[in-house]
Amino acid sequence: MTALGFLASRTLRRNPVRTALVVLGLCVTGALLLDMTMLAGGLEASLGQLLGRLGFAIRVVPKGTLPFSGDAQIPDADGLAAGIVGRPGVTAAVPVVATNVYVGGGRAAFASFALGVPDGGTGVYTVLQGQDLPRGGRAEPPDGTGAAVPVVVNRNMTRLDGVRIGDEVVLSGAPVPELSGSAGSVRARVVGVADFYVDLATQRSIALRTVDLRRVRGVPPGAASLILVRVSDPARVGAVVAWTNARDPRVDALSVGRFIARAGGRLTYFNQFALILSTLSLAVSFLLITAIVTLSLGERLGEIAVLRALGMTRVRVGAVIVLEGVALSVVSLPGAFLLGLGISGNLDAILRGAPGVPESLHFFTLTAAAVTRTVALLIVTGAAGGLYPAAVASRLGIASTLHAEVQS
Amino acid sequence: MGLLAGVLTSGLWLLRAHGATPGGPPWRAGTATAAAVDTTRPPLALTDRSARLLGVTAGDLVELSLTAAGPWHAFPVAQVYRPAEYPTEISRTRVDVRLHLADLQAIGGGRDDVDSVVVRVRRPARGADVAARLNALPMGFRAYTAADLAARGSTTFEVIARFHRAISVVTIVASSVFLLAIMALRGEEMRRQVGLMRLVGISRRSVAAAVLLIASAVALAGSLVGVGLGYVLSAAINLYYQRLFDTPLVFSQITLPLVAETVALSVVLGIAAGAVTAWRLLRRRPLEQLGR
Repeated sequence: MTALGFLASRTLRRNPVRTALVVLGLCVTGALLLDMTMLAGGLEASLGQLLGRLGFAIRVVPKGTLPFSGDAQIPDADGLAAGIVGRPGVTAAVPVVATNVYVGGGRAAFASFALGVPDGGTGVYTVLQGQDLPRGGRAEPPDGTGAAVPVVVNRNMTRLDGVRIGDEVVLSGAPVPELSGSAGSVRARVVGVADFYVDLATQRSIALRTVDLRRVRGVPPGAASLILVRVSDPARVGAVVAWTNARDPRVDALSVGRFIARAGGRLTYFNQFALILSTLSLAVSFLLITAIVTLSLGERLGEIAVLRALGMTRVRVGAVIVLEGVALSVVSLPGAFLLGLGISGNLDAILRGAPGVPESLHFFTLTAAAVTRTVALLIVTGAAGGLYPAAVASRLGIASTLHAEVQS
Repeated sequence: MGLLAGVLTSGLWLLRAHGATPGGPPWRAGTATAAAVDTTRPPLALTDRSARLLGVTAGDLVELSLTAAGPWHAFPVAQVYRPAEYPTEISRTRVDVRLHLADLQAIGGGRDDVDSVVVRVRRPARGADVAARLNALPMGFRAYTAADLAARGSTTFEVIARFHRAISVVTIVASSVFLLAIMALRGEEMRRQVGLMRLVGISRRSVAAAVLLIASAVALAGSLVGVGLGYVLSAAINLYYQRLFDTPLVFSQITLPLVAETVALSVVLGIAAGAVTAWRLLRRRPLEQLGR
């Protein structure tokens, strides 16, 4: 094997300009392959990382939906959450109301995404400044004349609207509180600024206690948009999911994997685009290696005939040629990865410019699986690219080739 | 201010209600006992795709609810129609139902809520002024002109187009390097031949022209094969996605200007690769090229 490697490396070093050009070409096609591999599962991987950071292993949603994808609600979410939290291994079940409210502070009211949570400290968001919502306390909603309800806002509200901790705002279900109809409006005081994880670039988000949000939006008592479930033992996720689905057929309990699979069903464009371009980049890599190795073979037929005459077997001659293809692939790997990572950053920035893409999600995600797949595919392509010239080299007739060389 | 159309009260405007993913609530369908449309109930209209997904036809009953728990509201299907297809809506597999605004508001508890209000102005040229005046009101809404909305609606496609352009730059670089590598090899093969040509008195210009011609021919032949492959791929993409989304929309289109641009770019790249090869060949003396 050492001798074969020596012969292959000497051949590649014989014409450094040509080898450099081939490696450069393979770097570009390899970079494209890496990017497409990163894109193929990128959003799912990024979503998985985000969900892992949140720490909730199960999401219970109205049947057939995804979290925050519509107005559908779980009718008896509070009761269902109380049942879930009693299951073995469940440490928390947080019913969350997600809806839109109008936040009026100064001259105008702005539409804002609102999260209703039972108490502070649920982990649905991370407080960056100030305080979280209070734990426990008042069970009844305010009548509008009492103390202002505490709210936590996201950074966009501080940046775009100048809302500060301690400011008082009015929350209502309509642009003008007087038009709220049966739903009400409440005075609120900003107690903290938080990261809401899946905010869009300019989305305003606000969190307040569920009782307050239900009053503002007229949400029926006990109803919620989803239930977030935290478990202490990942092995119990399946059992909790099965119990929840059996307990209420109107809901879907989604583990992280099933949630990603359901969301991934909406990403067919990127997966198929990545598949097509991956195939094309592999085909170009294959053609490049085959063409270069085959053409360079034509220049050293005499050398190969001499090796055969000295006793080198057909198999070993073929192995040297295949090794040349593999070596070209291996040498191009560092460049392919550097270039691929550079390009993916730019492509990711382009795609994240699309409307409706949360700031924390990425289309191109470098995972161990993507790296392994890219390396394996490039090496296999290198070997496959060397097969045809290897077959040609191993079939060479010694006498006829040497005779032809002498004549030329 | 222009004329505010009776969007909310005329009853002639229909609003789209989005159901859930087919296969789950909140919709359910059943066959009406009478073949004719029940005129005592408010009607609704379904797109042909939605009707197929639900397995209903005109005259059947469809029940709608905002929540899986109900209450359910029954509507006879008055019409199944084929809507104008929009690329922005193509990936939606949800059921599209159209019903009168008041009926939809009744399902939602009778609240006088709408998602948007369409304003028709007497003089369309003043649309931007009207939008600006509406936006000046401290009412918590945002008014857009039709042009603004078209621009916002096409943002996703502009992003995708930018993405495709960036990918095409990468593929152009890859193919340029490929061409350069092939021409470098071809140049090595031609070394002795070029040395002989120079020794018998053929000028540098003629040799360079021959190399450029070869490179252009390789690039032209490659681009023509590529265009053929592109047509096959384009047809396959259209066939696949039209079946996947059940739509007549065209997903991939190869136009003559595009073909011309592709071939021209290939030939230019071929000439560039040929020029590099010719330069590498001609910088050596003829005897050097013959190995002496």
